[in-house]
Amino acid sequence: MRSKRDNLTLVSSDKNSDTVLWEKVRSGNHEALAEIFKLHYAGLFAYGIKIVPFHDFVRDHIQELFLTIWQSHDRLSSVSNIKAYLLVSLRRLMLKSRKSTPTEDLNEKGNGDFLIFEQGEFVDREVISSQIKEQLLENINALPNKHREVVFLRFYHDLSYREIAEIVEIKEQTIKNMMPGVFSKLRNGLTNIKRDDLNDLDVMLFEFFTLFKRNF
Amino acid sequence: MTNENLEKLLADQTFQNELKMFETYSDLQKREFRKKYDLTKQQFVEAKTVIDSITFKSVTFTEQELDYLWNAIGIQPKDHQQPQSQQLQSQQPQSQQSNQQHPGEQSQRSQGRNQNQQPNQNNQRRKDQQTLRRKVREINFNWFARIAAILVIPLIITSLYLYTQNVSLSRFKADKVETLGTTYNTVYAPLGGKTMVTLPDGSEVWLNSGSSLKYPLLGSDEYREVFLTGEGYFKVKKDKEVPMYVKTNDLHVKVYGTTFNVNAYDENDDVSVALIEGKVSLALASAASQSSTIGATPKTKTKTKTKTKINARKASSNNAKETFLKPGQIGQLYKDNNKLKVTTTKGLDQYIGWINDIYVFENTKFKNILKRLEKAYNVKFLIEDARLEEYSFDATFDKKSIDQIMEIFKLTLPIEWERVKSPQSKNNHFTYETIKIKRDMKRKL
Repeated sequence: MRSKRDNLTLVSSDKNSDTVLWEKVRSGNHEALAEIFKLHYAGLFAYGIKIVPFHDFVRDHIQELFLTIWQSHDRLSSVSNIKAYLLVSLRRLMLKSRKSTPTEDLNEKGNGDFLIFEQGEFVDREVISSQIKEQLLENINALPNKHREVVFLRFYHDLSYREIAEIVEIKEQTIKNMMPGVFSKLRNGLTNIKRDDLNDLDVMLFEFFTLFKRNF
Repeated sequence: MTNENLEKLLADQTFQNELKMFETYSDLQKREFRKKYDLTKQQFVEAKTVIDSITFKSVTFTEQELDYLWNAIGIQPKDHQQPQSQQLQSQQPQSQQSNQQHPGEQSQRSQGRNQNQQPNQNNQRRKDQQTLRRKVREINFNWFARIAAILVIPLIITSLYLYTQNVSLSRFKADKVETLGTTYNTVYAPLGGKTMVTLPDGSEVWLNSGSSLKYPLLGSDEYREVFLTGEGYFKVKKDKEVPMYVKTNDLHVKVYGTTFNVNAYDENDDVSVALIEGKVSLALASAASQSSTIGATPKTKTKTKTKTKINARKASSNNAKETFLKPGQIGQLYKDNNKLKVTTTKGLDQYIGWINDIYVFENTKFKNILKRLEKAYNVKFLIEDARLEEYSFDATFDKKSIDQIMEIFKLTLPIEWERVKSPQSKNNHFTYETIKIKRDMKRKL
């Protein structure tokens, strides 16, 4: 018999969720604005720096974004996912002013390719050999810009394909169709993957089930 | 599984999430995972490695960025003014680290930020921003001045013309006020859907499934008044002089401009008011019964006026019975004993999530969850085993269909569910769907 309070939290529920925070900002609560700012600043910065690799440019635009939100808080519409909303707004803002700013002011390296990743940006897992890590990095950076941006939004910001579709302004179905190809490219040249951490229990489970399937 | 299928699987969001969570899984969950996907060991290791490798570090946030924002907005940061100097010191190693992630991209300016010239740099930056903004404002002003000049001349001519007409206009208005003052508009939200209404004063109201809101087309000068059945989320325009009364059968809410939710479905045992921002006061409908009828059936214009004044005085004499709510508080009126209870909650989402199709429950009995879902999705539930109704859950359903929700419950409770034929209404239309919930005898309670 289960206990009366068998509380399985099906999806984690944050106490102050996006809806509540946003509604507070809309009614002019600046502490809610601060909370949103603290929660999302790092994520916005990480994304912004990928679009225009120039620290102050990104900082100024994040400031401008929040300033605009505050100044027009009573005209804002309802938002259910603040992160996606902020990312799409920042992207538009930055791309707009990047057009109007001379490129030499922005970036000495030229701005053809953006969203290039470096090894230091990924969580370093010792169980994965450096050879494989390098291969994967190479594979990621060889992807077209748009694909790389989708990968970044999916795996850095943990957004769903639907939310990503709104940010990068392509159809959700297009993303879904292109992702198998993206993973096919990511898997290029990956051979001999060994994972010591997956060797014990998980692997036993594997052997068990393959045996099980064969018998029935 | 072929490579092509593996790539399709890798592109699947659920699969990605499950791989990311794999380390936290219990043995049972790991076994479930294995059953679900037909992977060889090598394929599993490869998939896990690919997903693991594209996990990003997060960038750290520094408190001083928030101070820039406060400066720009013009708010004095009060609570973190004091610890700020300490934080600057402790943050330095971190911020330098984050800069190291992008070697070669550091400009002179961004380096300066982390070093001693910082205060000067900040001031300089603020000044730059201010002068830039002032320039923008000047440009805007010139533009506006020109447009205004063009518009004002015809405006003067028109208003002179209208002034001469004014006398007849006001007579016309006086005639109309009488009829409009007694004319009400009612907005209904469809079963299983939601509706947003903008009231004549600019206030916004979201109505939940099957709810309705009645409001006068032309309100009085002294108060605003709306009648609610069901559930509504209110964002009332601020007006210190003219309060708004949100009236339900059992409870009246008095507001001056704020954001809150009222849940007054007739089937519920209670009426609940959740306050998000501002201040509201609650009064029992029975205590203010005289005032609730006034305004609903005024016969002539003069009578309305006097009655309203009496009404206003009565309301103030009833002050003792008013209960005030603070943001984050819930006022609940239990219909059986007419007692009003005020509680504080952190999970306001339970009350207002529905406007974004999010349903949140905290330690809520299964039967009450079903009651809420019945409304939201326009279905009826038939439960065979009453014992099931007493289980309590914490749950969040974020834009889920009713089928997805039932599947989630099936995982947690020993139940089976199916759609059954609903009774038809007179005109041979199905008005709602019926879902039957059965015990799954193979599983224990």
